[in-house]
Amino acid sequence: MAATVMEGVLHAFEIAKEERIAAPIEIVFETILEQMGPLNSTPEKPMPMVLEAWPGGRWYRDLGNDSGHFWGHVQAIKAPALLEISGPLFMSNPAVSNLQYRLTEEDGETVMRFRHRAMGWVGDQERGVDAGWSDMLARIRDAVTERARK
Amino acid sequence: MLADGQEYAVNEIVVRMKMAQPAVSKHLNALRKAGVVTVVKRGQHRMYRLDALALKPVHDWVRVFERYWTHQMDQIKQRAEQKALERLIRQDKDKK
Repeated sequence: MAATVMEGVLHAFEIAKEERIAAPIEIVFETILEQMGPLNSTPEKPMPMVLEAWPGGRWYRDLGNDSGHFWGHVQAIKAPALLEISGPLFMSNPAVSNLQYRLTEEDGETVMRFRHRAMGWVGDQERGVDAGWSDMLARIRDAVTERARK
Repeated sequence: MLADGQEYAVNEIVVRMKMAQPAVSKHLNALRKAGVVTVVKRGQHRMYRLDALALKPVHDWVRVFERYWTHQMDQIKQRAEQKALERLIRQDKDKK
C-alpha cells in the first residue's frame, strides 16, 4: 500500500448572496424548503431532492432501489428565519460545506441572505489523483476478468 | 501585483506594495504554504511567482456553485412572489 502526504491541496471559499423578495417571510421559508426539496433544479434540468426539514434531517437525492446521493444534514432550522445545512453536497472530495439561508422582514419585504462556505481538498483531477484511481480501477477490472476466466 | 505571471523578489514587492518587509514575507510564506505562489532561489534572491494553476480547481468549484445558487435563488424569489400574489388575490376575493 502506498501513502502520500499531500501539501497545499486544501482550499476554502465563500459565496454570499442577498435577495429582497416581495413576499411574507413564512411564504419565502416554505418556498426555500420546496425549492431545496422536490422542486430543486439545475439551470438545465429538474433534480428533485428530499429535504427532511428537522434538526439532523437528511438532504439527499433519492434515485430509487437504495441508490442516491447524500448532500448534507440539517444543522439548524428555525422557521421562518433560518435553514442551515452541512455536508459534502455534490463534491466527491474530502470537503465539507455549510449553507445558511437567513430571513428577515424589512419594510414589508423579506430579505434572504445566503452563505455557502466550503473547505477541503478540491480539484483532485487536476492533481493527478484521477489518474491514480483510473490505474487502480483498471487493475481491479483486469483482476475481475482474470477471475471470470478461471 | 503577481497577477501578471512575472517573478518578483521580496524587495521588489515591498517597494511596489509600500508595505514593511516582515509583513510581505509573512504573507508570501502563507501563500506559498497554501500552494498559491511558488518560490525559486536565484543567486541572492528568492523569486516569487503566482501559481495560477493551483487556484484553478477552487475557481472551477466556485463557478459551478455560483451558477447553481444563482439559479436556486431566482427560482425561490419568483415562486415566493407568485405565491404571495396569489394569496393576496384570494384574500381580496374572500372580502368581496
